Amino acid sequence: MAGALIRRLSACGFGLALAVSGCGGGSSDGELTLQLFGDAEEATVYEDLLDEYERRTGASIDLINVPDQDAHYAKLSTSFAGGEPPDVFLANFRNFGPYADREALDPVGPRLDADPELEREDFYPQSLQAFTFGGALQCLPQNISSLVTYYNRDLFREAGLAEPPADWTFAQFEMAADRLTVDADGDGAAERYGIGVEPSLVRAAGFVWAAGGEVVDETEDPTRMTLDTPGSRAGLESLIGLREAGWAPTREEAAARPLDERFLDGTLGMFLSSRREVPTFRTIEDFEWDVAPFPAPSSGEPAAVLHSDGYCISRSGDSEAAWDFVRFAAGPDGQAILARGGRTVPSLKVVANSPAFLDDQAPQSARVFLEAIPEIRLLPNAPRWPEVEKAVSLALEQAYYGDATLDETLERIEAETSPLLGTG
Amino acid sequence: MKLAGLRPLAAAVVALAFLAPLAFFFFGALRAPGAAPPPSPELFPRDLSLESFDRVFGLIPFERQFLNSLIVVGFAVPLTVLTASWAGFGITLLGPRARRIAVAASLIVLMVPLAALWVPRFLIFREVGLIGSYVPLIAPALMGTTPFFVLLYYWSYRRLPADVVDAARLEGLGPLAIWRRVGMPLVRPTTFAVAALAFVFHWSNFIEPLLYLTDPDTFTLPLGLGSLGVLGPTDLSVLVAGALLVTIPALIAFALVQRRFLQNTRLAGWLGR
Repeated sequence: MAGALIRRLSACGFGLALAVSGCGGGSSDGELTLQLFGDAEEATVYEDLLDEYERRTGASIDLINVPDQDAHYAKLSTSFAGGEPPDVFLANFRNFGPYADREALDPVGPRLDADPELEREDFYPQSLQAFTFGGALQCLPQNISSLVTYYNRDLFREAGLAEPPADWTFAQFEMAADRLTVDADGDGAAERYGIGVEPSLVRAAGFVWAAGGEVVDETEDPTRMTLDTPGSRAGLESLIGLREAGWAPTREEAAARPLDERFLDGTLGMFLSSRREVPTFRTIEDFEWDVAPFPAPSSGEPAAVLHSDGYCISRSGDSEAAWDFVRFAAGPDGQAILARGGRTVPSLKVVANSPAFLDDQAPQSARVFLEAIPEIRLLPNAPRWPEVEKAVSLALEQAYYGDATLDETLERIEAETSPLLGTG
Repeated sequence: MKLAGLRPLAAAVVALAFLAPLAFFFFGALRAPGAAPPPSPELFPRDLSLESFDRVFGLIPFERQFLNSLIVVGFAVPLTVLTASWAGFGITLLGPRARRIAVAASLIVLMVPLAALWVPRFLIFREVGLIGSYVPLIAPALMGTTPFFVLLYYWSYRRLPADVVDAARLEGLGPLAIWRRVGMPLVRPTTFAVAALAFVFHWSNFIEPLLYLTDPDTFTLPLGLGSLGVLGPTDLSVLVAGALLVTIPALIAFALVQRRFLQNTRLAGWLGR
């Protein structure tokens, strides 16, 4: 221990004076760095991925695993501003816009087109579209998840409800939410709730689209939010209606016990979320659970909300070496390793339809994630979209929990987002 | 007499109130991972298990991060005490006008939000090639970590009777000798307080290691704890176990100094009168 300490200290050339020392960062030792965020469990899956890459190529890559999303983007912004970004980082398509806009990324499009093995056609087109910015494919998508309904099969059976069919409608969804809600002592606070959904924009978008509304005027280059049109309003009203009807936990209840915990202990019948819940829900032993699609409107097109992350390459690093890693990580073998972790829906058609994704583990109806893909719609990836989403989600939360009327909320959204979308 | 007899009892009641959260902490770490956390805190988990600790060591390189944190703290805390006490003492030696300016400047610097310094500091440390080393984490200690510690020392030194310093000066002692032989021994409680606060600051510092470290081998404990913190709800006990392990050094440090700290406060009481 002492030896290691002394070695480290001498390597880093410590002294009272701020002498320039030879102790550089991870990027200065010639190794590539990959920055992403995720919990410690997820990090072990990425370590498997990097180990496999090292086994094949001999090149080792430093994994910088940042605990949460805010910290990830804070570190990215600081290191980009400071001129020493990671060589490769993983970003959500709703969040990479600011970096693409500042031309800080080395677009992967031309490299993908020149690649001898990977083709654009291998990927689900929605995931490529999500990472297209300024006419070029900026980052290579590694997954294509969407908003689905997790449900407790035991509770459905108990309530005498049939399993959700592939084409289940909002009417059936609302009936299930009602029947699953149990308030035995009649005190207004249910012991068990029918439905849980986070009142954020990425969730609300599903309701808005299903009702025939639009979130923005132009997905590719949004200039204003369109949540105040009649269709969008109807969608938001159906979301808010879930809470108003008493089928979903109140703000206090959701704060005291988060939705995922409620689902885990069997006090929440249905839970709307993306693929990311699967590894945790696989630990459930007390009841059976499965996934169903996001409910379809009684008239009009069904809609699913895209969730996708991609590997982005910084312009300032060794782009050639970075691409070599990215094409492996987002290629068939890399995606298969990640799919086995349970958290991702592969963006490569061949992996998504392989046993690496469709294995015999829960959820039984994993195909729901693939069947939703044709209906998937995108939120924008505009430069200031992360700020827009934050502002809108905060406002929607107020309306959902009954702290503001929908009119007040829509006014607030208009006022706060128009400067960000360039019409202010 | 009767009242004196009640004292230990009252002390026990107060101690119990403060110990309860620690007990929840301790027993929470002994829950086996894999189940949703109980809706209300349970004092004694049904099945005690050390599995959560195993998971901590399996998921993060705990020993290495622990050592890294120790290195940072080992440099930053003594440096903080040294520079903050120098600066605080120095301010007392200034003339009234300069002293007011120095105190006001410290207060103004105290109000600068840390987030405003992230990028400028990154640029500076990158320019001198120190991004990825521990220097950016320790460098603030060269200025007392925060102006608050400097002010704390200043307020303590100000309470020293002027004739004590004047007498030392007449003895022919220079400022450094007065600081070392007269000042520091008399403000020992402040030194312990600053050392304890600086320890907590550097030991739990999350954002600076996050921004300025690039090699996972150099990561400190708060980063590891952070990645345990975002595990699913069924792994809450793993986070609690990790947090317990991170807290233990702070508890030991406090246990070691608290006796001297409390004793000195009583002895040092004359200063305030």
